Amino acid sequence: MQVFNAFLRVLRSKFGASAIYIVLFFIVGIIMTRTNSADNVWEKTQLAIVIEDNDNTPESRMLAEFVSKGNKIVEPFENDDDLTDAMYYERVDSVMTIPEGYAKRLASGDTEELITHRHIHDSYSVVNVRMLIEKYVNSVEAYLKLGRTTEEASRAAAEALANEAEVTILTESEGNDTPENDLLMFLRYMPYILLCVILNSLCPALIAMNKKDIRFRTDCSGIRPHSYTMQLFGASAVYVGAIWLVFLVIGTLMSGAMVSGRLWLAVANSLLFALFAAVLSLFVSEFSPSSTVVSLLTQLVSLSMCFLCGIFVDQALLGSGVETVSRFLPAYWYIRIIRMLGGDIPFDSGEAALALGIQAGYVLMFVLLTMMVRRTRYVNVVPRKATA
Amino acid sequence: MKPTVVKIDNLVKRYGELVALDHFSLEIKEGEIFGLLGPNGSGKTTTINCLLSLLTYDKGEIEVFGQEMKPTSYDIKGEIGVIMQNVAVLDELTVRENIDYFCGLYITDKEKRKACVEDAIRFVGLEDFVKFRPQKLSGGLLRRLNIACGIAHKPKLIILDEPTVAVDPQSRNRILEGIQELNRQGATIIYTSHYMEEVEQICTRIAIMDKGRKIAEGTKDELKGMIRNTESVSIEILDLPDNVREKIASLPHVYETEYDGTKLMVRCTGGRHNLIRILAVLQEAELGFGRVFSELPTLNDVFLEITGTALRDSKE
Repeated sequence: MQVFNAFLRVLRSKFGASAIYIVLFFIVGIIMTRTNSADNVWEKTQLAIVIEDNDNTPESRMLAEFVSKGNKIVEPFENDDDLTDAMYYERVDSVMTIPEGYAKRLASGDTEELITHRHIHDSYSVVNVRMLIEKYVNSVEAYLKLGRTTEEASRAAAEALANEAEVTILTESEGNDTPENDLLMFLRYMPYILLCVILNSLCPALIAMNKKDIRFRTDCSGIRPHSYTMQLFGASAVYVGAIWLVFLVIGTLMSGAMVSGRLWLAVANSLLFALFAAVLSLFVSEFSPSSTVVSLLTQLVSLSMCFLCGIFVDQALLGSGVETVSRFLPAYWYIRIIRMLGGDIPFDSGEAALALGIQAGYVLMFVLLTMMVRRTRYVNVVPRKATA
Repeated sequence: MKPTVVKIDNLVKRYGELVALDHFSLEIKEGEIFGLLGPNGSGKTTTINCLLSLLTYDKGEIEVFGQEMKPTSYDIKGEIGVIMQNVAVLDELTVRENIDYFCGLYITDKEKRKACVEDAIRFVGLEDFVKFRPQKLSGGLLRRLNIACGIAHKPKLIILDEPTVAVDPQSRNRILEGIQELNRQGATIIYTSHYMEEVEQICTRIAIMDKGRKIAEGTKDELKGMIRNTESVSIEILDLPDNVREKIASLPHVYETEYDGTKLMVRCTGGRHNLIRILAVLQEAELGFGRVFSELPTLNDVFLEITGTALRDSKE
């Protein structure tokens, strides 16, 4: 077990490089959880508005009253300098000026640029209030055309615009806020961390053990090549299994879910993906890339799979072209199973088996490619074993 | 008569059109420090790789400890220690862990291995660095670690392939002393190098290789006895008339003279008073001269005389 133990020591030394990904993974996870909670609370924005009523008619006062609902009205300033200071220091968001003759122009239907506004910053809220006032004026004008008096029209417009529509944000998990779905949400992001951690640690460790000089020394020793390979393989399996198990346990504890029923399919799905990450590492290590290349490759593979296959962006939002491409990647089929189990798409046992089979196919393909590369490299580059 | 440890018979190795080993034969007895001397590309490393069954060969036979050497001869491999030119250690492990790992490839018994590792650490003098990672070690200490990894399992046959390349003189001396100590402890040593001084210093028997062939073999005295040159006299002299040079060339035992305008080189074969005779000729001609050197032949002279090129100047 000498090679097994030494390889685990090498893996341990390489694990540090992956720690940053794990920390980032949990920080982003916590931030996203909190952001999601905050997104569900909606508050109407109040603006600090100064109303300069130069008309001082019942109509202008009704407009001022309409604006005052839902906003904070600031008393007019005695001079322009004070007003400018207040706007500069954001004590006032906007200044609305009702011109002299407002009521008359309203009655005559001359509403073009009737109300003037001043503000320092363009913000969504400022524009919204401005549009609301324009709507009010247009509504009054419409009611006037219907034959109502100016006062009646102003009141009716204010009442009509006071009606607020109830806004509900629909999400995929709406109504499904259960521990099982929380675990599925965790498992949905697991391919990213599995790819990052396994590629970034297993790959450099394998490269270190298979360095030309180290292999030479090993080949000179009394250890049989089969035993050496099996010990490396065993240590890799233990390491990948441990990484997968740790993340699964963390996910289970965080969600509070008990793995049962179809959730075992999700567990098997994640194990298969961990296996894929392991054989991909094995394949990459055959080319003995530098640590910089391994790091770049990790980013490239993990991020491209996450963005293309529906890990970071929901599969339902992917364009048809992107989806066609992503079907050629194992992460797509991984997410397909998660979506089925989460109820986003109907569960189909045949398709679930197909998704698992395709992932297993990728594992097999990379095993065969690794064997092929190893054979080619050993025959062509490294001295062959003597047969004489 | 001591038993034969390594026997290479008529070995031929080709890389396409290039003949790397050309009917190469060798016999190394137990307890020898056997030097394989030759310029880069002469076939030393190819010989070692074939000996270790890491390379196929086209013709010939190799026996180690009286048994045919095959890729599956794990028992024989277990008795061989290999120290290559490149430092082959794992950067991720400490000094002790590295020695333990490579020793563990030969010795599975934990207690026995522990004792061997401690012995190896003491032998190379790395007691103060056992917890260091290789990156923290100097070049000389790294070489010592490399050696410790190769000898920790106490092999009967130790192969060192240019172990002192790019090593400072102090570490080099320590390494050479270590090799002699290993030999005194009973190990048979095969030492390959293109540094003739090292080979002369430690090897009991030497084979000189060139272009895949063994061009000479014997003890250093036997090798030097194979050539005409027994003494080379060099004299710094700025003005040497032709008649004086001819007179020196006609002296008994002088077989070659060279003069480049500043230095006269006289090569002699046999004789005991060559220097006195040469200086007497110069004094008789009333010629002033500077420093005078009298040198005994080196292995470079042997190589030069046999191949026509200097060992140091030979290219791959």
